[in-house]
Amino acid sequence: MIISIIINGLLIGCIYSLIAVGLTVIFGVMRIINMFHGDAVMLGMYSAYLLHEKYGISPYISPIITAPAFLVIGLAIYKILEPIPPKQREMSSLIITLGISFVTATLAMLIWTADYRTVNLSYSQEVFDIFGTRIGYPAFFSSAFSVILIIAFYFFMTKTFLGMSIRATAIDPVSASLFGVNVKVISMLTFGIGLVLAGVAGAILSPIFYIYPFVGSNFVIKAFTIVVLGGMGSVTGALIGGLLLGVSEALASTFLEYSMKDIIAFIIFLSVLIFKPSGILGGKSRV
Amino acid sequence: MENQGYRKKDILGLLVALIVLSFLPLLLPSENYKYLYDILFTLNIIILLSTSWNILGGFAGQVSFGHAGFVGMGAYAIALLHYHCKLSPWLIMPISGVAAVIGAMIIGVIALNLRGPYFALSTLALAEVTKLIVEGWREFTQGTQGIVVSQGDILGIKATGGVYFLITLWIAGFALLTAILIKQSRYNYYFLAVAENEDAAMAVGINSKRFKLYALLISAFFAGLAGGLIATHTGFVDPESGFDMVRTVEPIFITIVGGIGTIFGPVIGAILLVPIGEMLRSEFTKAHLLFYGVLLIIFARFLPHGIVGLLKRRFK
Repeated sequence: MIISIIINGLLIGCIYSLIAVGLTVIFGVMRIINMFHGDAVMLGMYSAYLLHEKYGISPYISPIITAPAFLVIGLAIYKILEPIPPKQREMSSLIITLGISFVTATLAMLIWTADYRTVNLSYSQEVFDIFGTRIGYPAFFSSAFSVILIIAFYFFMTKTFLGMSIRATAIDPVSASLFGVNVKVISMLTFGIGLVLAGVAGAILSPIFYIYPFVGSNFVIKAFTIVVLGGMGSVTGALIGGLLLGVSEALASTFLEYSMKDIIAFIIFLSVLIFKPSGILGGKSRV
Repeated sequence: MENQGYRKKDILGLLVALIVLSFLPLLLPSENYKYLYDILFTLNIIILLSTSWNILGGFAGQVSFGHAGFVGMGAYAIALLHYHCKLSPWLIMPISGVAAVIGAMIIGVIALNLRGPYFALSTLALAEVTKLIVEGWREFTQGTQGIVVSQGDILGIKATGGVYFLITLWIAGFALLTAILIKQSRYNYYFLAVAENEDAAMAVGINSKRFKLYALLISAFFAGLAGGLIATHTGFVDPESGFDMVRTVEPIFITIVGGIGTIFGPVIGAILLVPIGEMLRSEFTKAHLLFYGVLLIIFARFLPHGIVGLLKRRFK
């Protein structure tokens, strides 16, 4: 019983982590809180849904097609935020991305209506047993893809030149530029990459979540919780934070009341900000 | 800094405007202009909410993402007292403000330790927690079923659109008067110092947390009143509508487009935008948010001082 709760929590946690990774990287490099992140997830879900409905493309494959679009959206939003003077950047970007978020969600509602939609795969109802836990194939695939992507992203950040430039910019933009890193281009790319991750996460989780225009606001709070839990700007922190949130939600919805499931993210969010603002990894890790 | 005489002119102008507008229901009877009074009610509520948000976000520099929480607290204070104690919403209207102030004290203990974006996000989280508690505590609040608030008469007068207009007009006017009085008092300098640089303010001996709390409580009082008025006007409140996130974003959008940190920015923003927004809203739901949102992005990016800033530049 307890094992199956934890397994289900971990599965959902992997997907939460993938959403949070994009958010944390954007925060690490640009020091801005991107309220649009949840809506990028929403757009990812809708694009996967539409490609699946119209052309029968599996939501696990369609991100390859849609990723460039998210990169472009990211670059466009970066261009809006870029000229804000650094002193006002934190608050102005918070408010501007909130505005972009609402505009996007409202547009989505006008285009696709407020109906709840689901991606029905041929194996949507099939399950398999592991340690006496019944796991649906879509949930398993979504989590597995998320973990693979997070690991791949980790190696991208630690082993490639571009990844190392991003990390250097996050630690100290001035020193990074002295070593030949073009901080402007890196910031722009980081914003784009962060949104691509959000869009991919949206596509991957479309088979297991309802899709509706204002779904993004649910994910954005969860992603922020994970980011503060794991430490701002840390990829490994985002993974650990995501798993912790997934398991806590699963435990809370079983042992407390079901409605507690949503409160738990907020309580974790507030407690971390108050008692351990540097996150559980102590703010040392920057990857 | 603007001088005292200028503020006196503001107060006088505000009072004249309020008195003149109070004759409107005599000229345009409520029965014939129902739609107009619905828009005017919304307009007054948005002026009230935006002024409330502006006192905290503009004057004291603490951007709140949790105003929907205060609105919901006010709405539920009225609805619960009406439901459990059978009190007329009109007699207990001030309690909606007081309830939000009490809620804001609890929220303040947690959120005021945090700064900038973290303050904003923590108020968002606390508003959501309040909503989920109201939703979960079914025996007391009826959960997602919601509560019906019957309006009844106000001291024997039937609650028509015109009556709602007058009440909200004067409450919004009272909020504006409060804003003017804050602006010309010494508190304005404390708020400015805290908004500009909290560390520097503390270094010169300003108890920043205390002034942030004052701004939060004043702001919450008016947001709570708005909630009580909305619940009574609609005649119904449930967690979804009571704590609607729209009540947070609307005042932010309107205040920034009008001119953040100025007294009449929210008023000018609301008067210019709300009628257009409401007309769009009747075409399709939430279209007004699209309109406000696009303007917010443009203004926040290119004209951070809003319409008031534009006018000031023109006439200088």
